[in-house]
Amino acid sequence: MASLLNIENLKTYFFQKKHVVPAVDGVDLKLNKGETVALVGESGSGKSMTSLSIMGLVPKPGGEIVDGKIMLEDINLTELSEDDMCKVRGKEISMIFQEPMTSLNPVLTIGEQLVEVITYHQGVNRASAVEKAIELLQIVGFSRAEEIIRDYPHRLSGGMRQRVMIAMAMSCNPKLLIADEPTTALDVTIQAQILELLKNLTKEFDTSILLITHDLGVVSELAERVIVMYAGEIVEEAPIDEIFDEPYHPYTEGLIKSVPTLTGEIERLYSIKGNVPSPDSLPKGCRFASRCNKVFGRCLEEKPQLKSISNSRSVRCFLYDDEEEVE
Amino acid sequence: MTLPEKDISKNQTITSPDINLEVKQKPESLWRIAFDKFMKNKLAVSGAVVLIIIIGMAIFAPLIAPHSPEEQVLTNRLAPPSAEHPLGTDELGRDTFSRLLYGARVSLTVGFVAVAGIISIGTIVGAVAGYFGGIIDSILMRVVDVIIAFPQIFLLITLIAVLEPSLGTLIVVFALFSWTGTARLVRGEFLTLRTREFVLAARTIGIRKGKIIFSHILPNAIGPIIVTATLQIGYVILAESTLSYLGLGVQPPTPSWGNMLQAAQDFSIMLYAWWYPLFPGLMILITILSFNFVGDGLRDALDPKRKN
Repeated sequence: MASLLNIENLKTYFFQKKHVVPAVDGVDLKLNKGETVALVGESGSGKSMTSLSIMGLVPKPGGEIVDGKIMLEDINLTELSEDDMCKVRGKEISMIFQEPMTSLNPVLTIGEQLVEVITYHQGVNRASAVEKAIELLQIVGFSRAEEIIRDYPHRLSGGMRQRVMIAMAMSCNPKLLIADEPTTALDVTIQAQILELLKNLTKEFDTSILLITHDLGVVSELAERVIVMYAGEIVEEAPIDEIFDEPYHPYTEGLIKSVPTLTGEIERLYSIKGNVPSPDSLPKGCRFASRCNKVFGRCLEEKPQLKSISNSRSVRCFLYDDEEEVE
Repeated sequence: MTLPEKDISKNQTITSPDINLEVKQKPESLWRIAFDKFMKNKLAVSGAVVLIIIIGMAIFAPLIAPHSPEEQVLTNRLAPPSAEHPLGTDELGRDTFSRLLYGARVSLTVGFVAVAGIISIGTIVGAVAGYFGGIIDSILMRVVDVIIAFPQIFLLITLIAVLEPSLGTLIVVFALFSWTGTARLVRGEFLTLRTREFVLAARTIGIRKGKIIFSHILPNAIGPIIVTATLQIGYVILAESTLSYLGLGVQPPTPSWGNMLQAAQDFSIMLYAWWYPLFPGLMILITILSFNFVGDGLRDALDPKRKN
């Protein structure tokens, strides 16, 4: 499969008065056309900053991409001017957010917001943009699209607003959709519907999804490949059908164990002790060492590198150093 | 975008007649909601009615006025209200009612034009400072601080004393030195609004900064801006009256509510011709009060989040 997005050694740092915070610290990420990849990690692991870096929307002042390349096909997004980036956003890459309740402008009607994107990126006139907006709303599952288009966001429920956001994101048939925790704020039944919708749409339009989430249920529903991030770094990468059965990195293992199950004996829910180390005081060894249950001497002294274990899998952990040498 | 064949045909056959209709009706329905909400607010409606009457009287002053505002009948000075002079006459025997009508023209013109200037400058400065923040914000807000540091009324008096006192000068001076409050208010609104998720969402679909500032964030701040605009109109009319009262505003014989009050400040006039100071004062009071009521009503009506 052809590669769509290719991130190499991305470093997004925040410069504060006294120290530098490496929010994203050397991330390599590849995304093929039509593929759905999940970026998983705790709060503060750098997954949202990775997505904002792709969009060129790192919060300023303070945040900056200090190193690395973000290639969307043949274009290096980090080198584009703000003007050119505006043409990429919404057209080539679009994004949906965690909070559908606040991501729509409360004083503009649904129609105005949709029509604006369509006229802006496709250069069509208003009347045909309105027509297109209605079609889009029907595609994302509104039966009364003609009425919805005149409504203000406060009249819609969370699930409906997320559908509108999806319609807006898909309006220009982007190559890449970044979904930043698209279902976190929705209730479970709506979550399933939204996931189903995303799945169908991406299949139909051949859009790749970069799914950012901490919900492993959503991951197993949608993604083909999983990338686990911890403290600004990728710690493990694996296909979806392998990672749940056989996680390599102790952190991934911990994440999977901390999901409550409905089957089997009810035990106390597993939790990974401690917190993500503060990005301004990272240890010199493995960043997960202080919370790892398999920690040994070397972890505290040396920083592990991301090693590929097989074609499709790689892990950043000394536990697998020997195995690799054996192979 | 490619659509499933079935959807296109269904959609076009069923809904295409409605689509054109919808485009035409949309802005109407939006204002309709605001209008309905506004009509439910009794105070605002009565304020609007009073304002329409005052504005109408100012526009049609030549038709309504029983006398010319400058016609002097020196034998009939300080005459009490009567059939011929419904609100009495002034110290030169001019008809007070006619002069009030023409004075309304001056006061309202100064109010509207100066406030249009105040709101434009204040909104642009505040929006830019609030949206971009950082160094741009610091520079613009220090300029605001410098202007605010001067006591406003003395600044106006000094400037008008230096420049030629006239209607145009008044308007320009008001517009140039009264926008600071609006700028601070708009900046404050923008500071909170720019961090809202819909702004980030608008940026992720490629909308440019100018458009985000003026067509995405600004409509969210329009309520407070309208309220200050109406309050400002009251303030400007009052300031114009103050300056005219001090003899620095609109120069006689052109009547304005302020210079009519000034002419009436003589102790003997206040004592023996109560109608002369009363009516201009009353007009200022009623006009400012009405503007404030209308402002409140508009704020509630234009906010789609506020449910009735």
